[in-house]
Amino acid sequence: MSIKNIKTVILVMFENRSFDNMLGHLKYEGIMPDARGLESDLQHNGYENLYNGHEYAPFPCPQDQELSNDLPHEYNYVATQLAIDDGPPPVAQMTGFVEAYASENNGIPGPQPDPLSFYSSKQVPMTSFLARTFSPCDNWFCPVPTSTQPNRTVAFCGHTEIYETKTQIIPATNNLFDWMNKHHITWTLYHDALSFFLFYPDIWRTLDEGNVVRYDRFATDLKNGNHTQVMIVEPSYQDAPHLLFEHPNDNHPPVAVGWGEMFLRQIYLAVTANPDVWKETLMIVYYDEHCGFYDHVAPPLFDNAAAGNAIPPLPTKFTTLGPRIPAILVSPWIEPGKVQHDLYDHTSVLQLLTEIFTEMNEPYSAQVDYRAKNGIQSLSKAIVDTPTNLTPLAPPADPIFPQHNIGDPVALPPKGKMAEAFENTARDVLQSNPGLVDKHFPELNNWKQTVDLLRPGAAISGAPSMDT
Amino acid sequence: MNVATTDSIVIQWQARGDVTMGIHDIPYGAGNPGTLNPVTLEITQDAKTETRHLGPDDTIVMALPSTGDLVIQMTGDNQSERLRYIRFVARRFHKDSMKDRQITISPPGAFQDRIGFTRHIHGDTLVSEGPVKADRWTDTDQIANVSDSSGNDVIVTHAGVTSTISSGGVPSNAFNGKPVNGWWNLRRLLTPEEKADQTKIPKSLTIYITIKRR
Repeated sequence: MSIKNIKTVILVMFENRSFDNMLGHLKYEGIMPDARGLESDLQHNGYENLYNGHEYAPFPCPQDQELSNDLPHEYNYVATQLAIDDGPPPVAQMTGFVEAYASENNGIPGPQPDPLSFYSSKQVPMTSFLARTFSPCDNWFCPVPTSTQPNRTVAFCGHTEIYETKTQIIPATNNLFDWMNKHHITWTLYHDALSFFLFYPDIWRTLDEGNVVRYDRFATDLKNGNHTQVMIVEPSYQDAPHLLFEHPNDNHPPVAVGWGEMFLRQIYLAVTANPDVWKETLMIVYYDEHCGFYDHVAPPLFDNAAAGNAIPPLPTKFTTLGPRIPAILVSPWIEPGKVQHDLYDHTSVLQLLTEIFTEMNEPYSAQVDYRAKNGIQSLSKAIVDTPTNLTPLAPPADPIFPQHNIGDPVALPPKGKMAEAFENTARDVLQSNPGLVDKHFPELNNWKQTVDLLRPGAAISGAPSMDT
Repeated sequence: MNVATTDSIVIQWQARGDVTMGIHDIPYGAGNPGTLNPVTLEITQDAKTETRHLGPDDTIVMALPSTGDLVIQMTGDNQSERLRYIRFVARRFHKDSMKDRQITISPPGAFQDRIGFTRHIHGDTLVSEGPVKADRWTDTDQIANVSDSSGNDVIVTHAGVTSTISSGGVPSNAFNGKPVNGWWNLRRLLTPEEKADQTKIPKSLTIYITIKRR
């Protein structure tokens, strides 16, 4: 089987962008006309989002810049964004992105609301390069129509027992790390700052005993052949606690994407540096969820309860997959320049890992099996028998100028549920598992000392503020 | 917010930290920033006027006091419709807090837009209705004419007037002089194709309006 040519799978999950936001330009600019991106006539292709009677259309970002705020993307906002028409047949109309945004901005979305913006190929040079050089997936949806924590949980557990993002203990039943250990699959978790997996106390012990290292080691491990079968690369998260002068590169709004583009270029250069490793590698670049950015393709109907996922209370409609996210397959073992149209979500990765690294062909879990039987394909469908790009193309060498963003002041309390949850998790792990912190995240000790020093007190009231 | 090219823009701010203001114009819609005409901005604060030139795709950056107000007057382009991004940033302890304002600047004369609502179905009729109130136009803007955007006859009710807008895009003057804002009701019959296949029914029902600006 061709998938057995792949010995190493590298997972790089960024944060919070829709397909159209990052890769809509593939069609708009005529780079890959076959991709389901944005048509050149933005006014007349059914992209309209109506709010207060006014029609809003997608628009190209004038420049990559930090947004003034995050975008709304909790489950109730996603329901507004999808605007599911009961039919028959029921269908997500994708018309409520401005309405959801306005509801978070005193009813004033502005003439060109951020959720409808999309990047040009020049503004996301690495993402665009990887898409046209390798293989973008234009039918990959985030698995549940809600926010970060549930979607990431499905990505790494196959289902989710939570439906919203907040400070909470997140069950990690069937998590990928335990599954890999059970199947004797070697793995390494590279983290550029605090790891998202700290949200799961169930796997703290696994992480403590596992191969968890700083991202700084990623390139040298690959270069020296010290790679493992599965390598998970985590960016520095916008919402995680930061000390001064750290910059997030996860592409989570409001952060500009320049840092993330630089991070992606570093990763690609590392992955392609050693020909012996590269010839057996598949890298999957994907995003956890759409963040409230517009996407024009309606996610298909999906029975989330039957798939073992927690469901928010009525009357929220939770009857589809989440919106499309950008996803790119990077490997000699995919057809270069081919757009993958098969229906994928994050569990397509789990299906693929099962097929590559286990012999028994047992499903990853009952929940992933349910998804597979209900239309979610395995990424193995994209793998070909004959390698190409064994000598990989060099990435764009033009300098990337990241726009300023060094995170929120450490002296300030976190803004938003996700940032609050990250900080509370950091405090929790510091208190209940100091050994894990000392071993893998020693910077947290420094962070806590700094925070204890600066909060509460004068430093909070001394933070910058801006009103117009 | 929407202003005419000859209007003054007045902004007040209050901040903690060192304040800078950035001004960046792009064409309204999806145009290339490099195609905008260069303009001159007269920026007045504390009775002092500073003249700054804003070229295509340029950004003007100014340092400001932590609290104040200013007036921006533009000359040099009375033709293009532009979107002005004004970003205020307060910086303190190496950290930023920011606020964005977007303003559309429309030339005098008439400009076209599209209004409407997500549709619902009553029997064999497609209905879209609701209050129109958007930053895109001001309370003093008036309708010049309306026209169909869907290739079908549409019955339009607004500001006490009901009129049938014929398909084919021929403008109707039935709403001439009426305000844009207010309650609108749009109706049209489902086509035989839409009755046979409901997936062919559009997500919304909209019409074009041409707006007179003073």
